[in-house]
Amino acid sequence: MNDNNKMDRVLSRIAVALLVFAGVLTVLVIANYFQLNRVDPVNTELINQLVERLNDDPGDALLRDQIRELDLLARKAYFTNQWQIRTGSYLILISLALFVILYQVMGARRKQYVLANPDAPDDILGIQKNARFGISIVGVILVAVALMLSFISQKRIAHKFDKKDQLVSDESSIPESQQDEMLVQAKPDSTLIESMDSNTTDIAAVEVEEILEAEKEVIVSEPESDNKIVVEPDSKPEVSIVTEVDKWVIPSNNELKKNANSFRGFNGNGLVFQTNVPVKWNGSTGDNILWKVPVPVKSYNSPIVWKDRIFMTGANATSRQVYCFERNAGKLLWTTKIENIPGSPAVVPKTTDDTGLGAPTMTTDGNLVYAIFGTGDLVALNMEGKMIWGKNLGVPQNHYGHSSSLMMYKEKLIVQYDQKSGGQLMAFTARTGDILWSTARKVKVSWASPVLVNYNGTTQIVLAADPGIAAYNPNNGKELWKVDCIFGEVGPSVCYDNNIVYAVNEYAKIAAIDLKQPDKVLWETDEILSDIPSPVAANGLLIMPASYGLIGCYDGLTGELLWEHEFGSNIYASPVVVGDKVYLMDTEGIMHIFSLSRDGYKNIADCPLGEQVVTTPAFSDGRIYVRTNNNLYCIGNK
Amino acid sequence: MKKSLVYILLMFFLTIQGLTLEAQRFPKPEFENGHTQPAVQQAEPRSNTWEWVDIFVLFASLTVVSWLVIKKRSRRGVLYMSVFSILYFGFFREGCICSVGSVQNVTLALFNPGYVIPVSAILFFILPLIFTLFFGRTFCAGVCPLGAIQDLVAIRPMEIKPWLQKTLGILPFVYLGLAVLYSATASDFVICRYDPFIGIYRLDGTFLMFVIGGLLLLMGVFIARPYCRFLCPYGVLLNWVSRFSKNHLTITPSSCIECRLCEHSCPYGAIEKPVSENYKLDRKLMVRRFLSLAVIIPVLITVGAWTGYQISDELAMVNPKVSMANQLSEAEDNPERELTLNVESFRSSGKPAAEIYEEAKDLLGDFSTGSTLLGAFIGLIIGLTLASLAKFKYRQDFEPNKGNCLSCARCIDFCPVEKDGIFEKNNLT
Repeated sequence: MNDNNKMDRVLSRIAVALLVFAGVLTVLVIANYFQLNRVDPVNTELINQLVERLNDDPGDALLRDQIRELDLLARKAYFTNQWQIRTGSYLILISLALFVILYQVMGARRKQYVLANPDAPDDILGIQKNARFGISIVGVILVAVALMLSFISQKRIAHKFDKKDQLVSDESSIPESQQDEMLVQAKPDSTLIESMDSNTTDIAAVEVEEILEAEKEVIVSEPESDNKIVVEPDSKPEVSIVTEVDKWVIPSNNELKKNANSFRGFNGNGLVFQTNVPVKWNGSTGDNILWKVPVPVKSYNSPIVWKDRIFMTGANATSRQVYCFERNAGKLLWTTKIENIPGSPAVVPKTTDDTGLGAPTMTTDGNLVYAIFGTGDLVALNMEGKMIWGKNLGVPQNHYGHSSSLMMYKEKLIVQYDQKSGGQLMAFTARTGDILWSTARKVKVSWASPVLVNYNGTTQIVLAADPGIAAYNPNNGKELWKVDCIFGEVGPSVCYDNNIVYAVNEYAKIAAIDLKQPDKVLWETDEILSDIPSPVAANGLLIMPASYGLIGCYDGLTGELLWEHEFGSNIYASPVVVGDKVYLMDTEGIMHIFSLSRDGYKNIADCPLGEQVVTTPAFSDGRIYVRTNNNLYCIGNK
Repeated sequence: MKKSLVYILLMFFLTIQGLTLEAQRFPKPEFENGHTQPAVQQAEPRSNTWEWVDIFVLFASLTVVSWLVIKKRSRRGVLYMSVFSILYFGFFREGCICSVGSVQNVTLALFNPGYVIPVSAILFFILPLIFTLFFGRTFCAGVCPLGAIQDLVAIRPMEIKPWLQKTLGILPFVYLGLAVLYSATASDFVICRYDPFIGIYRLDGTFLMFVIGGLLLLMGVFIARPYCRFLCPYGVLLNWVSRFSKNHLTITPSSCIECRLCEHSCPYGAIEKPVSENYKLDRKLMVRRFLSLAVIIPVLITVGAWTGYQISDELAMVNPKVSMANQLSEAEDNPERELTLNVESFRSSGKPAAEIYEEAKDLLGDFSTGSTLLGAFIGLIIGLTLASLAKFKYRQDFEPNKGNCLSCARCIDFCPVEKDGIFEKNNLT
């Protein structure tokens, strides 16, 4: 008996010691936990201050090393704390488990017989009655809860799916001619109606019909050959209508290819169709720099060129302006301030510094020049800078700032207006600003621009946004196909080569869509992705720039990464293909010219400009026009 | 009072350590030199040999515990086996595979020809049932890791009123029915998803899991084995099979002397007390009662079936395809709302929406049938339970209820009768 008592005492003391140990550890672990949550090793004040100093003086190697050491110490301390908490938790668990086991063992060692109270017999009938009552209540509760849930939902889920399924199968069985009638035809949304410009010149409906009829003829007779260098003289029929412009001309493809009428040139595809483009220049020495002029207001839109005129916009919170420079000496011919647009907001929307209000690039058809700003103002000016029409499309709900550039298709001005809600693709009559059609898009905000793709003799407007790529008929805005394949904040526009459309976004993927089967992705990869510059494709190769300075060359058909090359600086401008060469401008202002080849990166030249560049250069008539943060350069063979 | 405070503190410590075991994320540094993150490595799958080791350990444990309960009649031995189960099936195997969850594997295999059920799942399902058929619920006694951890913390168990115990005994049937429905439709393994102790065994889990597990253990200090008695779906099957067990645990090794020393020894209320023939009911009343039940039971089945049918859509929402189709539909009907991550991911997958709507419709049809049957089943169980309350089983001795008894062997130590019939006088107080 004494031995048993001694053993019980020992076990009891061990159990108490374990409990006390667990208690002390718990206090320590809790204290450590709260300390861990208070400290953010990635965001310590001291390190942030030192980083700010380093940003002012990037060459300070000693400071950089000091920051690295402090950062390492902070991370080590964080991980050590984590380890302490984890180890402490395990020790608490083990000691509590041992305590419980010991307690049970002590309980099993003691036998205690306790007589039940003989005077309190069980009331079996009462127990059964109560049990019947309890079970009935449980049953009623179960039924009541079930019926309540059923009443709330009213079996709508099954009906909803029936309807959806029916809708999908109905759509596929409606003849195409009837589907055309179902589209939104020239139906402006409410914001447009409110801000319709009363200054626009009204044109009789019959004249609009004439344009559309003439356009149909043009479509049938015009064999589109987008990606070849065309040397034969233009022989396409032109449509002429007398308006405020002396003679309204719808330019031919040849004419468009000679100029740089939109962002990334002809059809927005990043291909240049001229052969006498310089391959060597130097901003510091002036080698092949024909002229350099200041741009009045800094913005991030790229220059466009029509014949001997270069156009661009400048915008800030106080002013939105359109500039026109002449090609010979860069003289600023005119500046037109954009103001008094009906519906234009009194307070400009907030944009980020790296976007601003003048991010979208202008476009032109040679008759008028067109510009859009982050305020939602859309304007058309003649070649002398006189505003012909202007309207406000409603302030775009875009947290960075509206960036989608404009595009011309025949006599239509195409506007991609993807915003937080109520995104649209719109077409306006270029001459008058009247809306021709507007197609609602169920997409997220996009900063990409429209690209015109020619397939099988017809033109498609291809847009990139989250959740995917969509193509539209430019004549009526009808959606032709759609593939959900990219997501996130889409900045790069698509490119197109050999009947394949390529789309990309960082943290998403590159998706290739064969236009012969546009309902699915031909191939996709996530190796080198862009979030800002748009890719370019030609000769079966896809050139993919990444904004952090890497470039990859993919096989356009298979998606195989053929080679990659790293530059020492970021890339925000989109690459451009000129014949068998690729021109790629980095943010330092160095134009990297390399071969369009599948056999690896073959550098041809690196041409420094000496200034930061984030815009895409324009190529026209043997010259390259580069907009830096503050200046406009003209580069050409001297 | 002091002891209760100690136990409350105990549970507090358990919950706290659960808090601190939450996974903490450290943001990865941003690389500006083009460094690409290495691809995520997949851990090697567990060797097949271990599957057979688990089966062997299960069989061996069942054999040893059955021997300890039936032959050796040792509570201490069962306790040590419980500790072993916690260590092996709990911490080492991380609570998976377990017999409780194997119900779902078997159901899925029965309803889905494409599912290949592992041998271990089949044996983990069958072996405990076979041992139960012969020896009672010895699996629950010292092999099941969920029961073992609850058994260890049953330090101050209180008696629950028998009528309440009977009422709450309906819940495991509901849980079993739902588990079978969801696994038959390949929607979810709810038993595994809502296993309250898996977080403790894996030393990792969401905060909610730790809270539920901690609360059940805290409850288990005072209400012994709450999960086993009022939730365990596998326990329903064990309960049914154990009623036919040949060599079930007996309180007395010889014959009962009705000393009543064992009356309050069972923390699970599984001891059937003697019922004298004085409780004979009026014959007419009994006949009337049984006739009523003959009508009530079909009505309960019908009401249950109808209720199940009404709620089939809600139950179906657990299925990921139905849920996805619903989210897609909501997104299409409300384009101004921000898209959920699920809808974004679905749209980027390229799968046509019509396909998921079609699949969801088929699943809703399955759920209609399944929920109706589930409701009918619950109605039947309620009816049969009411029927069981309408009759008396007369007995003279204190016996364990074969269905409810978990064969933990606690009652054995309270019986003064030795094997040869002589009882211990000296330890009577």
